[in-house]
Amino acid sequence: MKTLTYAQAVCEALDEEMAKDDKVVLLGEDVAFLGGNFKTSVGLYEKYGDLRVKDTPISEAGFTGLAIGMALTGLRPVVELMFSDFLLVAADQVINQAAKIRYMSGGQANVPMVIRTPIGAGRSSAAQHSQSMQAMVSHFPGLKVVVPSNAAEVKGLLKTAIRDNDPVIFFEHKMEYNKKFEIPDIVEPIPFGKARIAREGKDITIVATSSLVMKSEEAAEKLEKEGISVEVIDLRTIVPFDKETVINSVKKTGKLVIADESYERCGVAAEIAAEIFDEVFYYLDAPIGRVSTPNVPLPFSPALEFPIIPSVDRIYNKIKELI
Amino acid sequence: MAELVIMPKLGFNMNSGKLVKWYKTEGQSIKKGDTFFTIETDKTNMDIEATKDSFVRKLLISEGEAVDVTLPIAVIGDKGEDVDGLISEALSKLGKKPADNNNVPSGHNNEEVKSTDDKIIDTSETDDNKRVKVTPRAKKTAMERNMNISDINIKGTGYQGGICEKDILKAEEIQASQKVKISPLAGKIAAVEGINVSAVTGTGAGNKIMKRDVEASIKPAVKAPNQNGFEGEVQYSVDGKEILEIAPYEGIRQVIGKRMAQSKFTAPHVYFTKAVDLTETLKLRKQINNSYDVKTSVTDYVAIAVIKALQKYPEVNASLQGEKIYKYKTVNLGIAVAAPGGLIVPVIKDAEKKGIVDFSEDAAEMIKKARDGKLMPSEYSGGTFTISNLGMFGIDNFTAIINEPEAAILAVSATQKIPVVVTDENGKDEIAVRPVMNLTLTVDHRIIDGLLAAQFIGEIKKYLENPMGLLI
Repeated sequence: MKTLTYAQAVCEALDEEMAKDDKVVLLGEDVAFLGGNFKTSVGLYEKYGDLRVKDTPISEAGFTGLAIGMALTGLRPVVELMFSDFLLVAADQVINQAAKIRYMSGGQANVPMVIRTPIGAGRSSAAQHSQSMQAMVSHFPGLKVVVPSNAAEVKGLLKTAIRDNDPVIFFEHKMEYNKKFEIPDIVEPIPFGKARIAREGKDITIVATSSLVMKSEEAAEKLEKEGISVEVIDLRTIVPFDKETVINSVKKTGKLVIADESYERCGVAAEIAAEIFDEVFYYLDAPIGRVSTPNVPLPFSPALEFPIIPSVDRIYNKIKELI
Repeated sequence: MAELVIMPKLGFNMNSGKLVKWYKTEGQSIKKGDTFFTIETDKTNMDIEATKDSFVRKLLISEGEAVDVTLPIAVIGDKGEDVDGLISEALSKLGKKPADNNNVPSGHNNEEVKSTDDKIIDTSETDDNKRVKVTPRAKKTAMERNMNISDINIKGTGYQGGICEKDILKAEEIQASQKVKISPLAGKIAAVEGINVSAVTGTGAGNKIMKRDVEASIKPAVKAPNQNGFEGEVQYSVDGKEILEIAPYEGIRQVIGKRMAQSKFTAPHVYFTKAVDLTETLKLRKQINNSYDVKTSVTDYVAIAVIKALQKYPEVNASLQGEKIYKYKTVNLGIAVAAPGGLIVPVIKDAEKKGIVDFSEDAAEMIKKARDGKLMPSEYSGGTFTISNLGMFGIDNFTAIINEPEAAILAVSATQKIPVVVTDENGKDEIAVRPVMNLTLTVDHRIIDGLLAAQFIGEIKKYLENPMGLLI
């Protein structure tokens, strides 16, 4: 075991995959010379050179389209979008091109590309740099959507994302980058579509994504002291969705809370609830609860921002309400 | 049409009734003949059936609550009918404020709510107060366990106070702890005797409680002490007495106790004993038993003598109620019976209209019913005078406590052959062996003085020593 920051774990995954396969290339704003806005590619420019680690202008639509072309012609580009909000700048490339090509070409062409991009509020980055866009991209068929939790998970899942032959939107959490985690010396790629039971419990299930897995574990710890046993499921990937693990857990506990930082309306929590509902209806012992970001633009002021971010307390209170 | 269901008056002495169990919940439909609720009267539990088809709209009192007879206990009516007025009227009769009762529907229930397109929305179906909240999982769990949720008396602890799986499992646990394997006959006996079957140890197959087990627990006093000591721990009182058993003072035992204390502490008792020579009565009894297909008992003759005496002295066939003394023409004669569950007094109604043979047959039937625990409240209430006979147990003499609200009671002791002084036709005294019985009359001195009591018991003696008068 070793102690690393989340950002270092991302960097290790990139490094190991680049070392293993020289078709893997990085591009994005400040990824090369500065080592990434959040220090996720430190030293890679020095190690792999200008050809494989490329700084781009502020032109998300342009370099995302460029990466799609690279992917179509045999490379495995890893694009970094500085904030997930910028997926909207590149939306046509991501949704209308990358996601559609395998289908529209009848399987003759595919796009083995990863878009890495951070989500999450909490840095006073205001309404245009704090959003969590996983719900939006999950809406469109043709994209795989990854929402890793801790450092070991981010490393294992990023490896799988890079090796995947289809476009993967890989959401890192900007509030986790500088946190330290214990991670195994060797992290194997983690298969997509297989959720992780982060904590076993019997009274209520909480399905969480990204940093809310850690917050859910913290809430579960608190609830354990009150005699409430919480099962925490780290969803890992929204697309593909591990329906089976969630359903089995809900059948066991009878209660479900879904914690995801995207907006509540048409959000990931809503989708998961609806997706499993018909199979767990007769097992439910309480309504399905959601912990998401309320339907308002994220404020710049920390005093206004923090109360609306899904927190340990909000998860705790939601569980107490349902139990 | 909505109407009030009242606490029924099931007996002469019944002033209030305790609601033991509701079989229906608010909002449930009820059919004529369905058991609606159980009440505890002065001596028994009675199931009360619905007399018409309706809907239970409101239960005004909760289980365990006692109210005076004729006070409202529930509101029934059509689904969706406005019963708010009736409920508040009923609650004021009960001396309850609507706020006392969380379940009282608030005023808006039946208001019409208009949606934006002016359609009238019926809110009666969506009103949360009326809906029993049960989660799908709780329903499923209950179904799997063959539990009927409406029969489970539990409070939901789940989301918004709904019944969740945990509540069902808890109820199951409670039921399981209460559920005892018992044969149908034993169950019936236990119900009649008011025995708590969970305290009875079964000796049948799989520890099933059998008739013998229930019967054994009816008479714990005759249980012979085990020479080898009792099973389990021996209990001691604080001052070192070894305790055989601690039994609850409840049910029929408590009812008897309360009524005895009430009588003895309210009515000043005075006692009058007279020895009666039964030679002639026994002769008559033999003749009658030989000529009719009926076995008249000594009690029957004493009873007829009492009835005749009561006709002559109606002041004894009386009752002090509040500020009034009621003297009755009708003789409703009670005969105290030692039933397995405790003392009970079946009443032979209109006894003054019956001859010895009819009376004997009626009395025999009532006594049997009493011993079987099958008396209806109307059959053990409304008495005007009571006879208590312990003669069959060889008692020489005893005094009885008046069975309120009656004014007197006659204690009948054993007939014993004893030497008595008799006077022959020539006026000569001699000693003869005669069957003699002691009768002890207890009267309520508030309304019966010594002279009247003496005359009354003298009258009984006269009839029993010259029994031809009993047949007239």
